[in-house]
Amino acid sequence: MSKEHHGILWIAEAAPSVPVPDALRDEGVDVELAAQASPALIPGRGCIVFDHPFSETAEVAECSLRNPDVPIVVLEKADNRVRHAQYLRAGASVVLFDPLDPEVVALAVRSLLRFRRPVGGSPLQAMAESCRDLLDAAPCFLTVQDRDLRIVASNARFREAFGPGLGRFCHEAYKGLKDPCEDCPILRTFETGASHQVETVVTTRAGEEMNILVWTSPIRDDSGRVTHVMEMATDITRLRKLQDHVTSLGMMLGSMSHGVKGLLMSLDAGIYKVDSGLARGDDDRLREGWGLVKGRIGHIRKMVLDILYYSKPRPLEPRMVGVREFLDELVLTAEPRAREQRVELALDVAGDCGEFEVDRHALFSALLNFLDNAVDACRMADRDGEGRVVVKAERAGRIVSISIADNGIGMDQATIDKMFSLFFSSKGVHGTGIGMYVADYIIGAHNGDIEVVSAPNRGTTCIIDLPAVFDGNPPGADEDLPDDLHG
Amino acid sequence: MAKKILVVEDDAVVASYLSDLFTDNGYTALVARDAETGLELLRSERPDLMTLDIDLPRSSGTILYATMRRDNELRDIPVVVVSGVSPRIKKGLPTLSKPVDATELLQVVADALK
Repeated sequence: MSKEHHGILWIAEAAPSVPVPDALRDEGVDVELAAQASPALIPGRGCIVFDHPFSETAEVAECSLRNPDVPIVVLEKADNRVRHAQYLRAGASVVLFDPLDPEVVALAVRSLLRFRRPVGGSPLQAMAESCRDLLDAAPCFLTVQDRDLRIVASNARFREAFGPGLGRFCHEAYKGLKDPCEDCPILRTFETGASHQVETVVTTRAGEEMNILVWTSPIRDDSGRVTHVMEMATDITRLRKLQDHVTSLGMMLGSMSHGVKGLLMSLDAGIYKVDSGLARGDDDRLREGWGLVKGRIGHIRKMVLDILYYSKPRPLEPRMVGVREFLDELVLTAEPRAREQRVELALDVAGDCGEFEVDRHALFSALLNFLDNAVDACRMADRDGEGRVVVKAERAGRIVSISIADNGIGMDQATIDKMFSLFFSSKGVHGTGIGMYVADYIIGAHNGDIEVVSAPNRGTTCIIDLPAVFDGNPPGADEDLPDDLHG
Repeated sequence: MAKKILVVEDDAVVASYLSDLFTDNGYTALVARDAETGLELLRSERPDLMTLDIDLPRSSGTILYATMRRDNELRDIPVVVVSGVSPRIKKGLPTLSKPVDATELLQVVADALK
């Protein structure tokens, strides 16, 4: 897999000052033009040409330091001849000054391409270079990290999705975090020398969330010591979405089964009455039985249709609901659990918030989710009886604003960004990752808004604004459904 | 004399069904719509057999079963569980899952009464 050279990177602010790139290309040499010496573009190159470098010797020095095995040609203006020695000291192999003879430039470049400095003993670099094509072609994100969790190599796919890797901390590149992730599999591999696997949620540089499965692999030096860890991450977002949908289907069917059994049994009852009524010529019993059968079949029909259309959530049924009374019931429902966790629940309704037009059942379950999470946040922070969740409501004109504030464990920005994802939960085995996704969907369907204010260990406040008059998805319409939920 | 069967079942339609089924097949049937009434009728009527639904309002059928088993006068009355909720209360206790097959139910009842 090793190549003698991987082409030339020609760095010029505008256009090359000599027609050498085209000439080289005609000979079959790969020449890439760039406006600056981005670190990502350099490893593995046969040669770099700094065509009238903008920032004197610093750029050259930087490039040479990071890539000691890539020869450098500098093309400079005549009046910078004094820098000749400086360029050479900085690591350039050849320095040519104006007026430039294209033939001389081409000869210099070609000779450097033939001559490859030996790679410094690091097995990492040798491996990375000889596998570069393979790594770039792999359908996953590949990075190699050092003990500080800095990325020292990355494949093209990673760079496309998360930006240049070199020198960045992996937790920053993948998640925007200043500190290593909890349960970092890479740190574990450094510790144990074994492969580790973790599933997590990251954010691409386009701001999209992605569920990934991560495998880590140790890279050892000649003495067997783990000096670096390779991380391979696969995008499993679609798989998780599908799996979650199947799980929620299963949950729905599970909760329906008891009702179905009773239904079928009473259908049997009707059938029995019809049969025995016929057998005895008992018209009353026959009629009674038939009525039962028809009614039950109607019920079964509705259930089957509901199941069939489950992939399209039932459209909202908005009704006028009293705000205070609604929140009273909400708090009452959440109370037993809060009491168990020794968390205090308080309701603070400012003045007369009147009524709002909402789908009571859907909104209730959405807000209960927020409330339960607030209680959990206090439990996780071990507030030891000092945990407190306050539900506030106020009305500003056409908007009813409900806030749920806790003094619990709080969230960092990365967690806030992911809190409404379908499969993300901070609760480990206690969370399904479904509640917030559905809550977010329901509030969106009411054309409401959610604002989350939180900081680690400073508690969380979720503010949910809802229009008092329903102007969300009208009942029966489902064009606005997330794509993945369409039947 | 016809054997007496106590049907403990909260769903009116299912209770009426089981009652009809037993009556049509030569038994006398009584109905209790919750655990409390079931216990009362067990004591006052001393049926020859009880069919028991587990998912009852206010108090589960499991508790009714445990209570009757602790009562020396009631413990030997045979019980057949007829329920939509799955786990078996006790090994060896005849349990039929809803929706039940009428023929199977009659057979299990007949066997338990032997």
